[in-house]
Amino acid sequence: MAKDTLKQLDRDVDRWLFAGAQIARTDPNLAAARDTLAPLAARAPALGKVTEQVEKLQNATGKAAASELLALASLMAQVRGAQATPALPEASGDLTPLPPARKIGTPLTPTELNTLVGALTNAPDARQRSRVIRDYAMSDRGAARDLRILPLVIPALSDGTIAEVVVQYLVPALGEAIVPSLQRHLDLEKGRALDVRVLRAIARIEGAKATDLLREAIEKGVPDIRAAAIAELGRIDPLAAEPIAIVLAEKDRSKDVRVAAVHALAGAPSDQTLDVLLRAFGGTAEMRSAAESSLAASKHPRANERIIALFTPELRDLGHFRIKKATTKEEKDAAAKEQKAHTNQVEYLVDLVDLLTARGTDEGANLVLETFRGHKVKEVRDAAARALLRIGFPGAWEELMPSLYDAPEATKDEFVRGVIALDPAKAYDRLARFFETGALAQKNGADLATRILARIQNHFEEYEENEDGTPGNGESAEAIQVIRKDERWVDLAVAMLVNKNLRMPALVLLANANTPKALGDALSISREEGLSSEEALLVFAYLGKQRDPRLLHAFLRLLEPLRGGYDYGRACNIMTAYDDPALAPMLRSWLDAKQKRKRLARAEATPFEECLRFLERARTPASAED
Amino acid sequence: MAVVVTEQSIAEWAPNEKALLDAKSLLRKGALKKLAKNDDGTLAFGHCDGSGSSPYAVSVDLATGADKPTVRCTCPSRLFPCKHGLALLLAYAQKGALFPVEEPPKDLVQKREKQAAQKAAAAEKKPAAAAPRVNKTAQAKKAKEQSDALDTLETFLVDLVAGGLGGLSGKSIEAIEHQAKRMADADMKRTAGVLTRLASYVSGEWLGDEDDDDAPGVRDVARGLGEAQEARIAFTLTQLYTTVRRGKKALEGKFVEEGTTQSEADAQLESILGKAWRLPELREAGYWVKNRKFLELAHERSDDEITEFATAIGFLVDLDDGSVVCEVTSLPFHTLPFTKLRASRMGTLEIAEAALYPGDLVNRRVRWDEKVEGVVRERPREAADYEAVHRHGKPLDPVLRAMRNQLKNPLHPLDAVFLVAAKKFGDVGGELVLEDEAGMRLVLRNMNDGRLPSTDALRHAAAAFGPGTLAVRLHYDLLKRAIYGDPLALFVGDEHLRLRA
Repeated sequence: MAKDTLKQLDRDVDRWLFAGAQIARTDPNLAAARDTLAPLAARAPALGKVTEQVEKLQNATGKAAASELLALASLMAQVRGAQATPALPEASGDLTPLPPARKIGTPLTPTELNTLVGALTNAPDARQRSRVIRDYAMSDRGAARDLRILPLVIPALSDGTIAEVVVQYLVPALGEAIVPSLQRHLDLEKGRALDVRVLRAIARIEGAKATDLLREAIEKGVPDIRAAAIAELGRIDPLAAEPIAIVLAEKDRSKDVRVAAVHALAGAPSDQTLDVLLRAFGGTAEMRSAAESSLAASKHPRANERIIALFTPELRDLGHFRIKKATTKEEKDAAAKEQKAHTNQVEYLVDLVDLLTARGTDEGANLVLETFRGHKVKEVRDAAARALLRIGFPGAWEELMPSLYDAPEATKDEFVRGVIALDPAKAYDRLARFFETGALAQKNGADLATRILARIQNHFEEYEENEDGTPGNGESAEAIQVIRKDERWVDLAVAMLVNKNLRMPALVLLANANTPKALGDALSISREEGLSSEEALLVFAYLGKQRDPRLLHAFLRLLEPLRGGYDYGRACNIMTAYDDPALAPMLRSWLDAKQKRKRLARAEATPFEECLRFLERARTPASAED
Repeated sequence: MAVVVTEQSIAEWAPNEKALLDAKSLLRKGALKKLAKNDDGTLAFGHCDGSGSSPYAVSVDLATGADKPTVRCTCPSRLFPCKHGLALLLAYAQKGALFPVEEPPKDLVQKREKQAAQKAAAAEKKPAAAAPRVNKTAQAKKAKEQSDALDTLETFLVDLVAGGLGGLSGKSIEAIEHQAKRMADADMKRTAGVLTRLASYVSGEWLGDEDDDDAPGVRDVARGLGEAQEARIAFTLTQLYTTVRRGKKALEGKFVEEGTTQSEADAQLESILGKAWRLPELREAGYWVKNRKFLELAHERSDDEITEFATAIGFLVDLDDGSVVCEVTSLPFHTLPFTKLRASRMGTLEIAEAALYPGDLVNRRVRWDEKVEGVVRERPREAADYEAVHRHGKPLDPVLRAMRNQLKNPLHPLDAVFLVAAKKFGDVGGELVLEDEAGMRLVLRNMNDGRLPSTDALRHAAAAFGPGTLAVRLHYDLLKRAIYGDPLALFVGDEHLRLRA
């Protein structure tokens, strides 16, 4: 009884604080509380205190009543605390056991967890989300296997920015602990983008155990689900996928599913599969593209033979399309149809040539070389040249060379990439010929050499890593190591400094290679008249990485060709990083002279002021330590 | 005593995420060369390829006498430690045992000796912990200012209540903020904080309400105060009134006569009158413990947008007596780019001596002088530590009694952290419930709606690992007028499952 009265009084006091002390002192609830509690006061001193305070409030007037109400509130807070009880569940009854779950710990520290949660939830301060997620997922100590992030996985799979990295790295790292949650959210029939990702995620974790689910998805799912399911099944169990993919590749009503099924047949070894792939190669452009990649990887013993057989005598002898005279509508339609068929044949041949080179057999490459040499259709010859250049085919250099100079830019780039990929250690031997005087004098010779140098310098650049740990500059990690070690590239770049056309890519390479070999040449260039601002900045960048007393004067000389705040800013950054106190008075004097002649706007002078402030700072021995 | 280097501790020392990612990238690329260590393994050194013309010389000194290593690198980075230093730390944590033993470079040895000499000199120079000189005139002046400020606050509160809080207006908010400023001027910062919070409750900012009033600088009362908001306002007002009454008595020196413990009276000197305890004062007053072992139960970081302070709290269990204390670091927002809040403690702390702040709170604050060598050591956790944690897990009944004891004081927080021995966890009507050996139950519910509810994590953890000892924050819900449990960590055997994000 007393407890109930106290509880009611406690709530009433809160209410009265809002209603005002005058209402409180005359509220009937206050009097009722006093009447209930007063008889009990003798037994419980605490109740006596409450009763006494209630009476004080009743008897007070004006501001005194407010003061007494506050005192009562303070007293009731104490009573409330002393009588506090644990909350009761909203329902009654026995405890229902928790659903079973897989063991997974909490290895992330609060800082790590905060970073990972930020990356998964796109917190305002989150940076480099994909990189953070991949890094934790790939941690040797299994840092990402933390039960606290389980609830974030499904929302993250719906976030297009990070969904792929979550499927590829995080979900496999979490393993079976996340599977029940993924299964709960999977809706094969709805087939949203999320469902496709969830299905792929389950397949990645469960591997062979997911086969039944994938079969069910192929049976019940919408096209996107069916396509994802057959792709995963083909990856997990090519043999189990084969009979299903064969049917889907030819009979499924969705083009995406047919394409995915053709991809899934890449590792399947049966004759039937080879037949299906060859038929698909003769199909639409998309099917042909899928079949091309599957056939390129096919391990079937007769694959080479059957693919070469596609190069029928009719295709070998295919000539140019001859436009016939057409006057009537029927004749015109027939001519257009014929032309379309010819175009299709040419396209087919182009893809076939690519497939033959992609197989990587000598027989296929020789057939393509033969095509390059003798086919009547120029597009096919060009395609053959491109395909051979792309793989850096060394069998017919001299023959391919003229095509290379005239080839489109993309082919030239692909050729250089192909030669490096073929064998980075031999890349110099194969490509140096393009820097010989005769080669440079050829039409487009300098352009090709520039492209080669640009590609090579890419291997010397500092790079960030991609999400999968590969170098972010698009080169292979192995090629980067080999090219960087091959000193001949640096020597070549030094030699090319005299060539005005190649000087810029050579300087970029030398600056990135960080070699002192070009110091003398760079100093000479700094003395040249009429340097462009771009050249001057490149020489600046190269010299900024060297150490030599002559450089300070070179820096000042190189400032002359520069124009505008941006150029000056870059130059000042280099001088700041160079951090030589001896540069400060020289730079100050240069700046004063410039300003005397009023040649610098305020925005142009600012970088110099900042640079000078840094260079002229008080230097203490402690600054040597990081 | 060498610093223990783990991947987790490196993550804490990293100045930012990118530096750590770059360090890992350097490690993968094989940028570290010529790695070696000295004969006792406290100095690791090597070279790291970078964008400079020659590789950077990088080293890590683990015998610093502090809980962080000294990282040195010749790169020009202004980050500390730089990515090269972090890469060396990571390499050392992973494969330090395989580093060949070599004579360290002379300059490193010299730097190390120089650092040790500087420390020794600093220790010698440090004056003995003398009691602060008392300036009686200044003290009397401050007491007078505080007394006046409390009088004004009392009048203000009485005026507010006389008309009823239902009549609050934009002007009332301004007046509350004015009072807050007045309290801050009188060096009663905690009370100023409570008033600022009251203003935010009234204006609805606490709930994230945006003031769309055109007039700049004028805030208005939130439209239609919710029940929870009203409960908070009423409680805050009660706290303020209690602060006034007790503050006045404290200024008159009347605490102890009223039956308040000396410890609580001293605590209120800090909480009400803004006394900032210094370690020597605490030692002199007897709030001092020696040779304690602590294990961190949970670590939380909270950002108070109202006071613009970030706070990191580590809840530590004393492995000898089972009390749960807290290690607090608080920094204003504007300093965060330059300094870091205290990181989580992954090992077991062995503290030679520390101050245990006064007060009748369940979770008293613990603090030690990090700069004194040998005061703190963090070692890897052992099975015996986990056994001690389980031993100190209590049934619900005594835990609730202690909680009530804290709640009886309106100036105490409405929550406290305990170790509870759970017999089982289960669902009742969709709510997660803990049951102890005696069959007593506690409903588990998060205090705040965070990104990751710890109750969800506990469901998974308890289902996978079974029941154990739960580090739980009991909190009194003003609206429901009942106590709930907010799970922080579950201990099962040697597993420490941290549930909070």
